[in-house]
Amino acid sequence: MKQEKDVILLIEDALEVRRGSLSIESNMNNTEQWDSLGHLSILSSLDRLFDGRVASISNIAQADSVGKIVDILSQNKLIE
Amino acid sequence: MSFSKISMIEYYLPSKVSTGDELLRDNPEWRIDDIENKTGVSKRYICDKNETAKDLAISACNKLFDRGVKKNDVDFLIVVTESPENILPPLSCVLQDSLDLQTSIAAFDVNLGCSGFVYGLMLADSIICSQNFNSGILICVDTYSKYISNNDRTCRPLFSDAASAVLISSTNNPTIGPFILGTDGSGSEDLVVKNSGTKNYDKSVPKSLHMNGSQVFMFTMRMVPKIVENLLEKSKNSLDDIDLFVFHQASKIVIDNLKRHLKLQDRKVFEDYSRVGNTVSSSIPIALSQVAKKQLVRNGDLIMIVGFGVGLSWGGTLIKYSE
Repeated sequence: MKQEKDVILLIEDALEVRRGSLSIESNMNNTEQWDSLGHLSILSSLDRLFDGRVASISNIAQADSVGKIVDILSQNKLIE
Repeated sequence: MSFSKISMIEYYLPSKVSTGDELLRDNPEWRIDDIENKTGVSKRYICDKNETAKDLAISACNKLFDRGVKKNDVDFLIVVTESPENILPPLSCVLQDSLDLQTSIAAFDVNLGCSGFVYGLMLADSIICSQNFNSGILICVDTYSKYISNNDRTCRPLFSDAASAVLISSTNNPTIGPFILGTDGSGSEDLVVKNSGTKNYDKSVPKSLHMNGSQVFMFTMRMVPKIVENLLEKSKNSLDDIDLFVFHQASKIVIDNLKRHLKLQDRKVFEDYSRVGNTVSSSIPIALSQVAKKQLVRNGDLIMIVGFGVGLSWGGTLIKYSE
């Protein structure tokens, strides 16, 4: 099962930022590359990683920080 | 029994082309390469200041008439638009006069966006199947550029202004349908032009297009696969029976993800966004005209079309291709 660190790596790749540059505190306001298109890349990558199951999570689109994304994925039992 | 068929498609794009360089001049901080990689759109067609939806619609319809469509054979005119010149009268009524069509035609507007072509096609099909009318024109036209601010990074890179005109005629054999239509107004604020109607807004609220891209994206990922599945079930077809999928040309990231969700091969999904951008309700008919022009389908092939967007609203149907 995927873990928080896997999600952070995925977000770094989706935003095309250096590995290790994001943390659980990173969000749309403090990460330059995390604009509206970057957010779509994150959602798309998450949905791909979890085999299409993220699209059915209604509140994931509003999750504008690593912490919120991790919480929602955890609540939906997609990560440990 | 009377059925309907698409007999002819024409479209018109404004002559002004907005390039990435222009966007960058207005917004030096934008990463244009990144935007173009994700949207797949590198140029947009934009109206002049004095050019309106009416002008674009007339140009598209005149192409039909130039190809031999007789004005006296037009029994109805359906105009799908969210950017009419005025809230009233309906643009369709204005166009009856401008196009010099008979006063005996039925003419009405449909206020829908990217699902609008499918809705318009369903209405045209129903009108023809009623056996009261033989043929009509379905116009889809929008000038979203007039609603988009120069610094809107979500909308400006995507949308083009355009008009399409589709001649729909009666035939003896079914070529269109069944239809799946749907609506979820809980997402109405996700694609909206505030301060554009009669609601009393504070003057500080701009009359510009707002798109909550991530909400609309996730709605699309949730809903379009269901539409496809329901349409296959309703028509008693399998995925393999569909020769070509023509989705609303929202953007590269949307089309790529729909292909992934539905496990569709590239050759089964037509893509036109890079050539003309997102032309709202015209995107499907413009794409269909390209499919015909490039001879990507043969007589009898099944095309599935699915539109989705403002409302939130969606619709899909099957078209049996005939030249």
